[in-house]
Formats: sequence, C-alpha cells, structure tokens
Amino acid sequence: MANIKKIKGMLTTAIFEVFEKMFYVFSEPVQADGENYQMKSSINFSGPVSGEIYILLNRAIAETMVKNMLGLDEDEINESIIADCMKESINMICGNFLRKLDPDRVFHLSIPTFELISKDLHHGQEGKDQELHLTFAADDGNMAVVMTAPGIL
Amino acid sequence: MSFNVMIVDDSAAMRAVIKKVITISGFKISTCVEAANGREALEKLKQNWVDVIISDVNMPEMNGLELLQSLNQDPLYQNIPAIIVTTEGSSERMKEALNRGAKGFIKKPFQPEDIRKVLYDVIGVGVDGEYQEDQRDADDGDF
Repeated sequence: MANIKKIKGMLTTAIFEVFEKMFYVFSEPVQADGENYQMKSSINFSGPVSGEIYILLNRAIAETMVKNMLGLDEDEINESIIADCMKESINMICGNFLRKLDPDRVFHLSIPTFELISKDLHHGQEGKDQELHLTFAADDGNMAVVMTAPGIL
Repeated sequence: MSFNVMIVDDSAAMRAVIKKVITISGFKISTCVEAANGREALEKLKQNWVDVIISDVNMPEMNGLELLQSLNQDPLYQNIPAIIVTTEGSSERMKEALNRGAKGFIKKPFQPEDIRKVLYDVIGVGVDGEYQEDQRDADDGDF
C-alpha cells in the first residue's frame, strides 16, 4: 500500500493511460473549477481496500471519446453508445489503478453504472475527507475523477 | 488463413474495438460471434464453431472466469484457446485465469500490438502477410 501522494500519482497515471491509449484524449491536471458536468459513471471495488471511483464529464468530451474509440461519425453517436464507453472508461481506470496500488492481490470490481446528472449534483463534493478529487482539462472541457476509499485516504 | 472469433464482453463498444484491432492487425476474420456474457457465449457456441475466444472477466450473469471453467469442463470446447482481456491484472487473477484454461492475457487499456502479439502466440499463426511469407520461404527451400 502507498501514501496519499503516491496514490494520487498512481490514479493520475491510470487516468492518463486509459484516456490516451483507448480514447486518444490528452489532458492535463488543473484545479477544480466547478464545471457543469452532465454525466457520471461509477464503479465500486472491494478487496484489500474497498471504495468507489467515479468520473464526471460533459457531453462534448464524451462524444470525442466515442468518436475516437469507435471511429464513428457524429450522427452515429447515441446515448447508449456514450453510456457504454463511459462505463468502460471507469472500469479501465479502476482496474488500472488497482493494478498499480497492489499488483499481487485480487480486487473485485462491480459492474459500472452510468447516469445523466443535474447541473448542481457535483457542487460541494470537492475536498471531502477520505476523498481524492482530480480535475483534468482536455480540448473539449474539463473532467473530474473522484475516488472514495476510506482505508487508504 | 482466416479465423472464426468469439468476442465476449458486456460492452458493445469494447467488442467493436477488439474486432477492429484484430482486423487492422492483419488477421482475417471469417466469422465474428459476439456475446455479452459467459452464459450467452456458451449458448452461441452451440450454433457456432470458433477458433479462438477473447473474453472480458467482469461481466454480469456469468463472468469470464466462470466461462473459462465451463469451457474447460466440456470436452467439446476445452481445446478452443481462450484469451482473457481485462482490467483486473493482478498476478493472482492471472494465475486463476491460467488455471482455468486461459491461454493468453491482455490488460486493458491495451494497444493494438498487445492484442496482435497475444493472438499470434495463442493461435500460432501470424497475420496473413507473415504467414504467406513463411510459406514462401519454406517453398523456396524445397526447390
């Protein structure tokens, strides 16, 4: 297991790897800015450590991810495909992070979920205890990844 | 040489990506059977013969490890090579998959060459071009 700084580094690297390898989206860490996110995808994990990771995105980034991953045109993209790609993204981020956190032990991942969110849902979530909140800027706006894991944060 | 491939993943997007990567890697697919979980895969195997199975682990109804076990216990299917594609890449999980009959392991996120290399190792034949090149070399030697 690792300290908070290492955990933040591992989660950031996991996010970069997933977004760059699978979605060809390049981003950089920024300070949280209260962007109005429109969708959320989350996953729970259990094992040596238990917790939840979720991602918040706006539609523009989600559409870019789908276009890049599947090579689709704009008129071929629908809610179902977006939800599918978002769930896969958080699944890969979580699995990739846990491999870095403890490569020798087995974690169990839940089936990811997806939901459209209201504008104000994410406000007030930043900076909670036992929560790691990372924000990234990409060409189409910001995205946030939040991890709650009481055993390590 | 072309292959019948089964791709098992609850994400239709991931199935499409894997199929695309196999194709652009040069492997010829004659039939691609898709299933959203292990149970659906076993049902579809009754009507489709495949040369290789590429399966996710984390799926509803029947996960990839349970699918491997079912395949391994059935004399009809136990010789079909299965490759696991998953985010869950701990050494223990890999051992578990190998013990249940997996012949290869690909960690997500992956790059096209990761799939190409494992497919090459597992099915024993490279992409179409390489295969023909090897055959030509062998033929030249004979004459």
